[in-house]
Amino acid sequence: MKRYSKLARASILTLAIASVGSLAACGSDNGSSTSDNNSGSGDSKVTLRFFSNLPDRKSGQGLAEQTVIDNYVKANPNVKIDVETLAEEPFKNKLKAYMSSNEPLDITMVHGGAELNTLVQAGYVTELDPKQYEGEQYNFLPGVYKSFTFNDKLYGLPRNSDYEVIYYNKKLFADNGVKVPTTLGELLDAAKAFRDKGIAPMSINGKDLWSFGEMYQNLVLRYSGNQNLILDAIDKKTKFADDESFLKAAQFLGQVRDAKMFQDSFMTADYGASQNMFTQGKAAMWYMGSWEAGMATNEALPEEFRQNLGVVKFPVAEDGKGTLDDLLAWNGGGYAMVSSSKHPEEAKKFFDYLMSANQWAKTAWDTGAAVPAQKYDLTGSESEVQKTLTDILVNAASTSGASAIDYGTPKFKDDIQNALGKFFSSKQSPEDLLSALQTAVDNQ
Amino acid sequence: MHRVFRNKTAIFLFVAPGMLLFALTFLVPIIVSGYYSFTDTLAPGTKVTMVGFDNYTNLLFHDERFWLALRNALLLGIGFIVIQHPICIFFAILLDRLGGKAEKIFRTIFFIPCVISVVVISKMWLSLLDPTFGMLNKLLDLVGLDSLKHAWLGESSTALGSMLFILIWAGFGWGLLFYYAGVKGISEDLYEAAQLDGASGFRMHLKITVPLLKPVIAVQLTLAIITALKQMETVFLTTNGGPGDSTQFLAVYLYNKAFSASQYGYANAISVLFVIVCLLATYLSNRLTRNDATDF
Amino acid sequence: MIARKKTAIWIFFLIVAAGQLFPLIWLVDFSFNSSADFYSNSILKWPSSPQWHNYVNAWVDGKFLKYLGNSLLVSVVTIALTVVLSLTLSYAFIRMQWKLRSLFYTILLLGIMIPIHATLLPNFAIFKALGLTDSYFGLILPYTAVSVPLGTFMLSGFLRSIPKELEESALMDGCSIYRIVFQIIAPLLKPALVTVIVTTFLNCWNEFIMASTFLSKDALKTLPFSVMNFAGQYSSDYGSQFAVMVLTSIPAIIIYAVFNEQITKGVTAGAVKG
Repeated sequence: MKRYSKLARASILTLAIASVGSLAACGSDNGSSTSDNNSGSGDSKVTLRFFSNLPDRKSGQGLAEQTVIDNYVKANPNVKIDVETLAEEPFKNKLKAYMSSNEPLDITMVHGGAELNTLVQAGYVTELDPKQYEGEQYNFLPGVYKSFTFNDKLYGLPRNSDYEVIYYNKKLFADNGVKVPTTLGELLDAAKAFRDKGIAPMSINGKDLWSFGEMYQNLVLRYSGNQNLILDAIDKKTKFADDESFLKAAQFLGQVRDAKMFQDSFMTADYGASQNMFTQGKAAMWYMGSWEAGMATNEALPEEFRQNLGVVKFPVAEDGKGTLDDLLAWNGGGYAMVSSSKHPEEAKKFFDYLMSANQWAKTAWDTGAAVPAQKYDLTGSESEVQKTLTDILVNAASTSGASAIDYGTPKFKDDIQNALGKFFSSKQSPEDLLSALQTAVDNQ
Repeated sequence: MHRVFRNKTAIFLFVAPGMLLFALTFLVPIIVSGYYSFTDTLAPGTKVTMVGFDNYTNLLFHDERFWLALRNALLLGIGFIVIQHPICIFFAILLDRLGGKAEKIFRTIFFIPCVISVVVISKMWLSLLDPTFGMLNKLLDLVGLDSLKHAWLGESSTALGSMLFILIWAGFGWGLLFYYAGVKGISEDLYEAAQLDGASGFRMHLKITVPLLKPVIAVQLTLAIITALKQMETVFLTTNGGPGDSTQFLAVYLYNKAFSASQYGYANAISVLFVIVCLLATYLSNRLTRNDATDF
Repeated sequence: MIARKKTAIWIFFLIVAAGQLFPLIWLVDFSFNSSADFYSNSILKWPSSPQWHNYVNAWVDGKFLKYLGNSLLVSVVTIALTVVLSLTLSYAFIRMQWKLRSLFYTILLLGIMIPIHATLLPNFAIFKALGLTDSYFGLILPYTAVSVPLGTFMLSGFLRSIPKELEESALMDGCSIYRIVFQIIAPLLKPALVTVIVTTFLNCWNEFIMASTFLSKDALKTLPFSVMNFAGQYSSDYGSQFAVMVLTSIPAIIIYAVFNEQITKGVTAGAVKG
């Protein structure tokens, strides 16, 4: 039966060839091959499609996400949730493919800022009513919608408070008599000290490029003490040449490059590879975000590593205006509802459940997977890393609210990341980097 | 000629299904690409604004990454032609001389990498060439050549060379097999005659084998250029075009522009130029090798 | 003199063969090690205790059997379609008389040169519009489309070298054109068909970009994709990642070992005629 209809469809190929222009329109009224979509009758089973960037369902955020899903399915036996997961980079690509063909997903993980903006422009995600998410049940922290709001309309909810820190291996620092850096000068000293001992000072996921962007933003913040400076540059309110903090930050990146602070394989290291270097005790530091809090409680990692895991704020510049408590923080990852959903009502129910403070936020915090974007209660059994991360967030004197690379168009993100990648893999001067960044802004 | 060979129904039945499928996967998409290449669409389904030839002028005159990608394909193609193919021919001749069971065994072994999935090959070599735990650097350490150690795929200076090396490793078996087939087709009498004339060894092969292999070489060289131009999977899975575009290729560039950078219109302009470049390269290489078999 | 030469070739080949196979041996070796062992200094490392559970992970979480089944199904159907279509196309192009044949032939052969990645996105939209994504056909049809031009090219070359007398005498006996193609010509083309089958098999067995773009249902996914997926799932566990790579390589090597002779014969007989 089904096969026959496929053949029938195949026979109208000729028509399709004749009407090239209408192809995009055809995408929306396709008959998907999912079999169980008789959502009309109330009792029948509903299958929701959930798309996530967390393939590891046995630890960290993936476990937390899966736990909430399992909870929901248990409480709602008429709902089945099909989870599709892909690793970060393939995930982003596949989501674009889904978007371009209007695939009837129900709920998807989204990256706020540039990426979500594209989904919004394609009309692929549903607008949300921010009023509905006020109050006790959701308990979102103030200002967390920034990367999810376009033209004053909200299109997704953040799942975490994301901020950049440095994870470090206490044992490697102690054994080699290296001081945990609090200033950029000390950071370079530490880099040299570890290099001399044949240990990679800092691991970074250079193949993915985006960590370079976060680091540059962090440095500009440390030199200028102004959270908005780099965002203003992207908004074309100022130029990279106009404030010397930009140049100083670029010069420091140059010093980082020349001191070989990153691991040897940094330009081919993806997220997992850079993490492995660090968790296997082969790199002293890892430049990453608060969403990796789960390492401390992940039993797949070596016991010795977990006991020696520490976390520090990004160091200050000796000649800069920024302080240790100026935090590069934003809300990047989140969830959105898909407008081509086949079961919008059921999807909404699950979405609200997922985003409730006592579901995702609580689960993520209690399992030590991440720092939520919602208020959470301390349980007293937090890991040392979690406590430090909480302190860093609570004591922050200022937060940026946006990640610079995601602040412009996707093209801008691509350009700026490539400019940084080029800088780190060549002998380019800091001045050239600045002009490349300016070009990326100008070509938005 | 028998009229059966003009049977219209039979011709239609023989040709229509294949051509229809071909049109669906190649022609229609290219037409669609052509349409989008004149727009500044972010992605299919978003607002479409016609921009005329803007994408093309930007690509050709303002986009050095595009030209870098082409240059890399050219270098890779030259690498195939200058390094891989002579090696394959050399091995094919040696293999033919070996004879007996050994010939069969080695032929089998040399081909094994060809049946390994490109995903496995890429991930495996990424690990083998890893500067920290990879085999190659450990090997260099072992023989005291640690000054030659590199972050092979992670340095601009060595990345493209490493890529060529991986591709040669993976493609060696195919090249060998085709040249071997060619060598097997050469009559033994020719060699005997040449030996009577006093030619032997290397010079004999240069004089007899290589010229006789010319048709095979011509086809293989065209395929080598196409392979270099179309390079995608291995690059995508190892360096993703980096570091600093040193291993950028058209297919990877276009994929990233379409997906990561949300420049769908621009990516489609790359697609169109990509197709043109591939067809042009084939035409040129056919012209150069003046080969009837692929001359169409 | 000749014997000594042969020994030299032998030794030389042994070294090169070792070089060809060593990466694979390394892969197998480290698939038995734990992540910590990866950073040791030895080139090959005998695992202190072989990590068999790497293979358990690969088999269970890598859903090896299911993906293997999918890969086999997709490959077999693609090969069958490619063989039939290439056979009929090449016959129509080489033997039959019709007006547009050289034009169509040229257009079809362009398919060898056109990069599939250039057409990936529109392809996705078209297949989606036809309801063919997320089904086996969503992979089989594009795989076939990619394989047919090369297949037609190879068969055409071989077909030209076959004398027409057989077909003419078959016609005298009253054979239909369809019987001629499938019962008389097809067996004669066997060596070339083997080459077509092998190249098609390797292409679709190993393809992953289309597989990952066109499929979302887990139940349909193929082996190369599972390697990708598994790398995300076990990103911190190199041993298990290597185990799944070893597992996915084994079927292709077995298939190759079984058909090794036919492949060489096919290529030897078919390629030169091209």
